[in-house]
Amino acid sequence: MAGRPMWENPLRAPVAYGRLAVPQLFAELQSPEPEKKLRALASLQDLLHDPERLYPTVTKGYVEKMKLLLEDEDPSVRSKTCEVLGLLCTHSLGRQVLLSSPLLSSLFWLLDDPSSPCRKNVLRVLKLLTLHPSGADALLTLVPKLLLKLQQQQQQEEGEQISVEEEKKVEVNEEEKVDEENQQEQREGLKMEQTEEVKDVKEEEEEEELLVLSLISCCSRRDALPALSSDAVSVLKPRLTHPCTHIRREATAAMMALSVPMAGKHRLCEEAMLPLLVGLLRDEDVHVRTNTVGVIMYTVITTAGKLQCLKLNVVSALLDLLTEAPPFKKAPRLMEEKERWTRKALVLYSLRALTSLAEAPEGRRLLMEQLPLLRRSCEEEEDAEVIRAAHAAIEVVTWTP
Amino acid sequence: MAWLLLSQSEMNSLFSRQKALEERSKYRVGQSENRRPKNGNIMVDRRVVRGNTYSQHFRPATVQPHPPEIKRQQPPEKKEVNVRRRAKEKQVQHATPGPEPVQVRKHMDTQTDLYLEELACVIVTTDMACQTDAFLDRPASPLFIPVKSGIDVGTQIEEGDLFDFDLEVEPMVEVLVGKTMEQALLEVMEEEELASLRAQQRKIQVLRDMELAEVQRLQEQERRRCEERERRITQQREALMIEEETVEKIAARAYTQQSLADLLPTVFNSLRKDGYFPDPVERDIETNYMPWQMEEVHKNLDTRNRARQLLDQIILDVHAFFSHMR
Repeated sequence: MAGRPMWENPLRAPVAYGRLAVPQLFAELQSPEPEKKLRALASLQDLLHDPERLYPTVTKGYVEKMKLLLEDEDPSVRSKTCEVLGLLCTHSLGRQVLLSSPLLSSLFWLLDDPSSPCRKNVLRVLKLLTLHPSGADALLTLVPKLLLKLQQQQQQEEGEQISVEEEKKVEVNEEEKVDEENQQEQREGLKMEQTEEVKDVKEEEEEEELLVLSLISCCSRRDALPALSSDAVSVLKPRLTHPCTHIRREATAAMMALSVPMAGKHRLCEEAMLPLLVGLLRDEDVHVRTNTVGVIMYTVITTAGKLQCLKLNVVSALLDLLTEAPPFKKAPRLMEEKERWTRKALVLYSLRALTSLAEAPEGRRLLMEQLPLLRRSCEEEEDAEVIRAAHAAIEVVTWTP
Repeated sequence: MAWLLLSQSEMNSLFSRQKALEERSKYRVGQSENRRPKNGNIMVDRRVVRGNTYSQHFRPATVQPHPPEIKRQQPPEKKEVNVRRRAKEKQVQHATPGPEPVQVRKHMDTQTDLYLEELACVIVTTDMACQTDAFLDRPASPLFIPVKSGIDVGTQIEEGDLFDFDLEVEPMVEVLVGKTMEQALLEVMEEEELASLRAQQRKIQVLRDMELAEVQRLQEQERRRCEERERRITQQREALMIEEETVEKIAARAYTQQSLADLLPTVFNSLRKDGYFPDPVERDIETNYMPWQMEEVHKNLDTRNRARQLLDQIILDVHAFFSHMR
């Protein structure tokens, strides 16, 4: 082992020249040892970044040979294979081939894999697949399963929280009894380690949750009905108040996708999500706020939504959001394109929500008072869409039967 | 070299003539005896010493001492003297023996030189031994240093003459750096492109959402208005219907009132005629008296019936008894 020449990397299998590189690596993948497979997979990963190598690999049907690898015993082999598949999915041809191959069912099965990095890689692959709408369609069948996973995770977390609370109580008792400092320090040290470990595990779980949520939102944008039928609204509810910003973002995005069909809107009203959402309007993160306004925008289209929201005094919150975003005229070039667009999205959604709310008499009354504000914002804006939206809002507000 | 084809005679003429020394004696006596063939055969020539020179029969007259010995033993004389002496000696050699000696006398060879020579047969020899050392290796042959010829010209390649690393490496490094930069640029551009595509996607998503919301709102509005309209229409219809009904009802009521106005007394009259208004006494009699009456009648009839039955039974029994008796 030590007598290997210097140029050989122990982590990568040697790569043949030219056309033979990929076939030879695939031949090496047939060997029974997991180390060899890992090395060959690492070399494949390096090679397949190049599209010139990737296209013949994909078109000549080498992808099916990876199916065996996905069912391998060693979890690191499985996760590496998923990484390689992820590389494939960055190209549209690879995505198409993967969608039409029998690998998809193996990937679905791997979602329940015991090893966490493997699951994350599978989720990443699936997320890349959703870049194209046909991929998202293919994954719609997966949505109930994902929601189930989220539910299980939620239950697990609740169980953990309870046990953590119990532990804390026990610890408090112990601290009262024992006086020796050493023991306390030791315990604190252990606690720190444990909390660190728990933190790592938690981070990984959060990442997984994030990926699952983003998958759900992507698929629901195509068609929200499978998610709704699997009771997605109640599953997503606790995630809206999650401490992590990303999860909240993804959860609100998923909620927005869910609120598009009428069934979703009714569910939202039934489950009394609106108080939660109105609370989220004052969230720190811009994206969370934008998504929440989007959900509200869709929900107030229904009459029930309108009434609930008016009760919750949503109008003032939305007007605050409108005025918070500075008019674009003042600093159009200083702001980055992305920032501009996020603010623009926020403003647009708020205007639409207000338009819908203005159809209710109560809302109309409130907004009539705020009409000068709306007019002002309409005149000051440069953006065509914002102007249009503001006009529409004013029209609705000033409509008389 | 060009080779010429020559005949023997021509060859003789071109090169030095190959002939033996032509003996010309001073005394031309007995030439025939002394005639040697023109081209003498050296094999039979007496002057040519054949065989070992060191064990030779000494013939002083004919012996010609070794030329270096001559030179050594005799002081260097003039060349002409040497030549003359040699010629003389030759003559002496090849001359005829000469007159025979007088009887008493003998011919004796003597030396007439200034200095006498010891003419001895003994050849001075010295023993020289030479023996290489037993096991000495062959010494290295001396380096062959050829004689210098021609003009010495020196060249020397200084440090930076042939190959200047910096100069040579520049294009290569440029190419490498250029390629790397190009690759990096491509990758960055790709990433940027992807990012811009995503941003575009999101923008379009936002716009789409907005428009979708508007569409849904309008749809909803339409729906509500339609429903409202429907409801109002139905309401209106219902109202109309109710109105009609009420009108009809009113008309009907008026009509019926009219028709029923004199209906009542006629009805009452006919009823009274038909006896539908009963007399209370009559009623009382009917309800109370008649059932009692009927019951009494029934009882009476019952008892009679029973009595008859009993009688029948007795008769039958008697008849049966008498028939049995017979």
